Amino acid sequence: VNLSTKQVDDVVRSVLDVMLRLDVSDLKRSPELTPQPLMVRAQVSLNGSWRGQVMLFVAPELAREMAAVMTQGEPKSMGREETFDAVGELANMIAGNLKPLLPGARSLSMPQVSDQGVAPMPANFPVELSYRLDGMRLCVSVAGGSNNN
Amino acid sequence: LKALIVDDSMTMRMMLTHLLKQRGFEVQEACNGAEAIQRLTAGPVPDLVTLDWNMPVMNGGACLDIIRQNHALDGMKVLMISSETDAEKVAAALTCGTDEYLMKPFTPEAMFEKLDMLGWVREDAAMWQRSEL
Repeated sequence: VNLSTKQVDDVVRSVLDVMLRLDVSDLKRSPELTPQPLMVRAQVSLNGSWRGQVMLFVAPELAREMAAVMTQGEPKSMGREETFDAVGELANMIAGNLKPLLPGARSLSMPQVSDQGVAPMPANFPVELSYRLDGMRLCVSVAGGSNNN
Repeated sequence: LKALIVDDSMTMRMMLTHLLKQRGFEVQEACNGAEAIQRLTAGPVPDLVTLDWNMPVMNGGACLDIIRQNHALDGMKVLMISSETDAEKVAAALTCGTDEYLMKPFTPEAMFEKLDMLGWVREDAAMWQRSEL
């Protein structure tokens, strides 16, 4: 079972469209971009006969804007706790909406959020998508596979 | 009207609080199922509980089991709101006694539609229905 780039892209756009009320056409694919240090990173693990991770990397300024939209606050008033919680929740929604596309994925972990940016990526069919939103960077990675492989 | 929002995400609790207040609910919050059970046991019993599925300490499924075994809570509606979108999880939640299920992400309109389905019809919709009669 492999996820296509389009399937992941559709889920990412759907989650960001609904939660951030943004025009998804503003979300520009930028394949040349890669996750960088100092980005906010949220990781959700999927477990079962399909095991893997969904990772969401967001530039700190964009993460604050996302948290502000979701909580109807001001970006400058969004601290580390609010920002991490919002990015973790978005990663949770992306993982939850990818899970039905992955037969064998049975459960989702709690989101693990840090500001360490780049993470080691398992080699088993990673899907990596990078975007720009208002000039700020956002990346999504999905990696994993069936235990039977 | 009183509601208890049970979600480990502060962001989701804030979003849901905002939406429920728009519909006239007084809102309390709990960060996990165990805290929700404490609040429900202490009373007063709310009209509505919104329940996340994946939470630390006690998840929404375990919390729902305890709620439905407590007959003092029989009149309380439970709306499961979760990122779990596969049919198996939704069916399990409905079988275990949740009244409605809302998948994340959701729009305010989708949330209000669920409240309508649970019986808290918007005043403008109620007036339209009365005029039709």
